[in-house]
Amino acid sequence: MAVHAFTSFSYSYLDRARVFAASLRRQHPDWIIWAVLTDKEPDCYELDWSREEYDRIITAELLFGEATDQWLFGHDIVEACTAVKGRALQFIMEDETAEKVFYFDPDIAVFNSMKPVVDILDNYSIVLTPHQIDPEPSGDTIAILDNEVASLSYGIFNLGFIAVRNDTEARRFADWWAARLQDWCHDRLDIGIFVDQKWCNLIPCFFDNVKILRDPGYNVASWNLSQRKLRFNPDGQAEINGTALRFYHFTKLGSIGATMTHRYAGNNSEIFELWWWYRAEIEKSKDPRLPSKWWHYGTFADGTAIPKEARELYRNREDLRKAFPDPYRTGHNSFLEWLRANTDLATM
Amino acid sequence: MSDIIDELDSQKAGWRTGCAGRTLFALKRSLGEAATKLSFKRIGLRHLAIDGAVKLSSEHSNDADIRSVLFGPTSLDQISAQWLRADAPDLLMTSPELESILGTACAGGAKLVLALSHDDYTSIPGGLQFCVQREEEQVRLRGGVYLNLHPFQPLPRLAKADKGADFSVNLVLNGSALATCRMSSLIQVIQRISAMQIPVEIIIHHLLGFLPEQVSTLIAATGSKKCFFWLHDFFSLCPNYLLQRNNKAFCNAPKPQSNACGVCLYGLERRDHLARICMFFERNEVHVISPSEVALSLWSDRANFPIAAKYIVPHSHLIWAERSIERSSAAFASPITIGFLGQPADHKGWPVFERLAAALKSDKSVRFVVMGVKKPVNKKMKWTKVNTTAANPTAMAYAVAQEKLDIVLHWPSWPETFSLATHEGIEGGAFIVTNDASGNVAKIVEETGCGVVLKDEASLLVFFESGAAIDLAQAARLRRQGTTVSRQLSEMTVPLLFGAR
Repeated sequence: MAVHAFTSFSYSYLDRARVFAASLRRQHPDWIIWAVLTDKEPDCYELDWSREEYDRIITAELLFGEATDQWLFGHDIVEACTAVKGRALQFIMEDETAEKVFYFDPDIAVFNSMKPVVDILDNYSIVLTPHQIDPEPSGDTIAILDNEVASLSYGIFNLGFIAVRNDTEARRFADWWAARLQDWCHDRLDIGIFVDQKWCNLIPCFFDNVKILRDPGYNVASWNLSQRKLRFNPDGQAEINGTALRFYHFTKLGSIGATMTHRYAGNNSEIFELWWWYRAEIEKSKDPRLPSKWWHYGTFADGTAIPKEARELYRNREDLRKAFPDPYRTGHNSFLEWLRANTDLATM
Repeated sequence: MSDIIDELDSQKAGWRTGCAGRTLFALKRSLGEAATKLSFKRIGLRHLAIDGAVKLSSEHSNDADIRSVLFGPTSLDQISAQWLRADAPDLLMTSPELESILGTACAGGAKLVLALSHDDYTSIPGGLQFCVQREEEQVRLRGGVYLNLHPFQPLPRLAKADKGADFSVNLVLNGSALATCRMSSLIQVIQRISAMQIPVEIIIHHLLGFLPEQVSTLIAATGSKKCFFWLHDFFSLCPNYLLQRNNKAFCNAPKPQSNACGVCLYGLERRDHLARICMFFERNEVHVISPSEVALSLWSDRANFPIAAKYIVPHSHLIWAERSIERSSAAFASPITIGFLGQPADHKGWPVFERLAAALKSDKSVRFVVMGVKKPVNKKMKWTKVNTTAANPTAMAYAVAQEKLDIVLHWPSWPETFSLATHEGIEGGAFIVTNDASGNVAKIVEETGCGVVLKDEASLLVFFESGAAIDLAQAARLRRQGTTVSRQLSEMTVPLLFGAR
């Protein structure tokens, strides 16, 4: 029996996935690490997976079969990479060696042992980390808006992490989650859903043996930095509010992440040291052979970018799905041709 | 303005895909249509302000500090590349030439002392350089010959152990620049000189820029494995000799597998660095000399190297003498003078001094003075040029006394192994204000009672704003009136080489 862990990414996040896997391997050399890849390789590119830290690879095609391409057309890259998680969890839980299964987003780095959560799963079926575990001060309107109100909109729990024990209750959760993500993994705040994450507000309502982990060392990110301080103790261990930093979620590497981190890290310069390290690691992990922002499912066959609205239209219109079973195809009688003739969504 | 709003609209909101609840987005959503009527202004990375509405400022006092972390060098290789000299040595002295010169200098059986340091101690100011000057002077007084070698190519690390590496060293003989030669040539000469029964001793003040493997070969050429190894700083524990994680904060030299080393610029190098230093200690009989008990204690706790012996040899001792002069109460009426001594460097607490001066700029009862070789960029403070050398060892103490410094703020970000500046400050009549992580500085203050040790910068400001600093200044003035302090400089390694006088 073993602990299995997986992450979900496309090739544009290969660098992050590498940093994540290396960090997890350092802490848990004995875990089985899976890559769930929702992408296909560009022409003339081949990744030698034997040189990567991943033990197993699953693709979206493996999970969804012939329906994959059509189904993925209705999802943008974030929706797609999150929509596969439910079914991937089911798949991994069918591995008889998978006693416990962890999910991490690829832009996470693990700094210290996750054993406390492994131990928690001896008594719980599901472990979740909320975006925040401490309220913002009542007078801090901006922080309340940024953090608490945002959690109410996008999900109480951050689904950059979830851990389950391979038992009846967790499999019941996995089945329910996979079913919802099959049809409802969309960015639709207007109707109260947000990809895979918002659904998980319902976990404590629908399932038993759920542990809501209120340890500040887990899932540290810009959305909870207002209440968490990073220090290195005399032995060099990273600590958040005096307890070990287990993993940090480097969400949105770039100007946005920097802005929010800067805003809420304040004078906690150690946080910026962490970001400096992460950027340097990402830089070292890049594969220069990969085209920038590559995603196989991001364009029509002729390279035209697929507009978000086109995806939404396609997934909401059964007649279009029947008429254009291969929505990526271009040329005569293609969906792209129809879009250009009937909408202003694909004017390029 | 529209660019900002367009950027927001085009970004995926929310934790997973984009803004992670970005301030402007959150506010825009909460304000709804009203948001589009507001004027948004982005000011760099630091804050977003809405004119005429809620101010969303998030300025932080250490923005420059944060930028230096975020956008600093990504590797020690990158830093080292900036150190590389474009020139090669004009002329390399050959072994026969060098042997002839050293043979002549050591005629009559004079002991040859080889002292390794990281730079030219005769021309570059600094505490370590002062110590080497002092040592050279004392060796010569004992009839010895002092040959300093320092790398022709200075580096912020050990030189890389490339196969067949044979780097060049600059030689300074009895205080005068002699030549540049290959290390292999020097090794050859030392071997021959030693074979002629000329006693040769080796002192390592610093290994920065050296190949420790080749230094071991140099030691072996003396016919002995013995060398003296000074703990002027903690280079033997980490390429960052001040133990500053990412050049920002004291790290306490944790294990190389620690989180701190893992995210540090120097972390990757450190593993190899420690292995090479350890091998150096294993290959040689290293006699460790520490200028303080504090430094030896920290080093011993962290260093897992075999040593042949250890000594504590402070660079100086303070000597107190009562003086009987008429005490003047007028002396207490003047503003208190706070000084910064030495190089205005981050690790010496310069930013803390600047922040204190800025915080107290309206306080007419306080004045700030800087003393050292390098003029600070901050032109608001009085600067007095002071260069302490072996020829003029009391230059700083004299300047402190002349300026009537009451308090020296010495706020290092690392535990100083000795701190000549602290002794100089006390010798000049000032009291010392320092932090509790300053190593031997705090120890000196506690042992002499000449100052105060505070917990952190917040406590420092309270100390001044509460009037406690005035009390301390008064105590310093009272002491100046009643006592003189002088310093007796040590002979450095000389007693261990030549015996006590």
